[in-house]
Amino acid sequence: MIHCSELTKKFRRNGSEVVSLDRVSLEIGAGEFVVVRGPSGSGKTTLLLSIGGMQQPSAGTVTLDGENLYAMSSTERARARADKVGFVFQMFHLVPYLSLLENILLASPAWPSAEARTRANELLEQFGLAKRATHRPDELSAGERQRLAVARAMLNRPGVLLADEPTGNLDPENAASVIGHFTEFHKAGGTVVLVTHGTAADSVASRVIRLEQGRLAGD
Amino acid sequence: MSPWSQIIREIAFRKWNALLMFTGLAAVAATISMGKLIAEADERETRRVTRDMGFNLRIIPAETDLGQFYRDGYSRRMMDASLLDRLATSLTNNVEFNHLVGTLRHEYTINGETMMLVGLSETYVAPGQGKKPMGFKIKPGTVHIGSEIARALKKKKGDKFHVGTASYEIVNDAIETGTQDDITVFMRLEDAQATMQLAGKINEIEAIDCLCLTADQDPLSILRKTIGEILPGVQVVQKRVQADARAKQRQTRERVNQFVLPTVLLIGALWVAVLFVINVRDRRQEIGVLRAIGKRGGQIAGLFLGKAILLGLAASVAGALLGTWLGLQFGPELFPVTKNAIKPNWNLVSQLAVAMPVFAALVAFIPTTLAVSQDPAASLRED
Repeated sequence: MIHCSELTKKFRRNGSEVVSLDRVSLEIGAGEFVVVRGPSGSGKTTLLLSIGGMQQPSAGTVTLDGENLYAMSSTERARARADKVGFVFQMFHLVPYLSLLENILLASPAWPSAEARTRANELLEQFGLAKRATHRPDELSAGERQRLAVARAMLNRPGVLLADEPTGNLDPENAASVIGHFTEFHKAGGTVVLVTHGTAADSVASRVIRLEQGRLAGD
Repeated sequence: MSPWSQIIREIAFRKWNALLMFTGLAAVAATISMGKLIAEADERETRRVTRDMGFNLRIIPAETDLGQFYRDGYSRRMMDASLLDRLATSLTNNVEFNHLVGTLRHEYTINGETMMLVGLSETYVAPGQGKKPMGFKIKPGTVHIGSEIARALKKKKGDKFHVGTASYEIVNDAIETGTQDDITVFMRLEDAQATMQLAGKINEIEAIDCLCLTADQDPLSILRKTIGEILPGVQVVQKRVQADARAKQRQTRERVNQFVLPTVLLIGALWVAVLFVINVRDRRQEIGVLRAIGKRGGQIAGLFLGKAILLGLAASVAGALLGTWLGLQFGPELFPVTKNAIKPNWNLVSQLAVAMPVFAALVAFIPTTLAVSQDPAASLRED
């Protein structure tokens, strides 16, 4: 499903060049649950964003469902992200002035249809947020906000969920709850790529990839 | 949820930022509005019913005794009406004078009442300036009479007025003006020439000087030279006090247009642009996540440009109302010559309703470009 070939990303920082990813090649099959682990600055987030079509690599290719992501136009890549990828971030990144329902519907590619609204309400129900549909994110706890972010990522029934430290700001109970939702998604046939320092997902992961200094250190 | 709903929600959420933007745009709209009001009043003032107040140049035969001219209010010397055509032909885009009216003015007695009979030609205006002729147009078979004549002869609008062997309809309400117009009958030049048996003759050409210079700037020398080159056999006199007042006001208004308005536009644009940049910065992560969930650059740009258009529209109404109020409140003090002519112009609201959203969108263009071009990955990494 996801194929990275010689993926390289370099940044310029304070006048010098930093290699965040150094010729990383890996393949993630459909239905896999992959945990990506490594120390801070090892390139985990860069790898995730590159896989999701959010970070143009300096070299190498990323293919998603057989399509070279970075050979597409930015419009095509946005379309691919909307249809195939769900992102979940450590800091939730919810839109503060929209309600919970509207935050989920924001992921709808066009004018939210009745079907999208039904799906959004189902997700609110599934994630235990139905009674707070009209509330704003700042009225939720951290765990509730992350559940909302996961729900948003799932609106369009993506094939792959990319999660960057989704439990980093959560207590163990909420962290377990979020990992539980990823597990359900995985069991339903979805592919999960989870960047995490924690071990809560180790028992359900099919693979653990380790990055060190931008290179694959273990798989 | 439509993009417009999202824009309105964001405005309500970041209300101070939006309010400051709105204030800047409204200030610009108010300044334009007030400026236009004063300009229209200035134009209107020179079309006042009391005609002599509008025209400040009097071109009379060279042989005129000025003492007699000032005592009687007209020249007893005649000149050929063809001089008017010659002067009118010289009107171009760069005129120093405009709005030429050929006049035949003389005392006349009807039923024992002595009055001033004034025949007026059509008004000649310089081509391509889009200006309406000053003064009023007299239709064939009609006259305009002064209030004192109406009272003495017991006449009113709609009555017949006999001059010599001809009969005319009175078409004006004879309102007292406190000037010589109250004892004046205005008619078409041809009718006055026939009545006074002075076919093809006039004794004055009225005009308005367009130099708009004050006395110390000596516009009269310039005008005498220019007109003298076209019509060697005339004298040119100018109503100085009234011309000075007009000139001073026009210069003040031009200074406002040349300095105040562009300054307000520039400051307003910078003010709103900076606020938009702040808005883009505050929404960095929102923009990043919108990209992550598949929103295109155009959709993100729409959120910012749409906000600019909405605020511009709201500011246009507020600014038009504020500018109108300011014009009515302070205009008479700042521009005393036109104070009575300052009136609201509600068409301004519709004009500003188009102009201000466009202005706001143009101002928001660069910040919007910043929003669309920022690296979403960088913003999503920020904690």
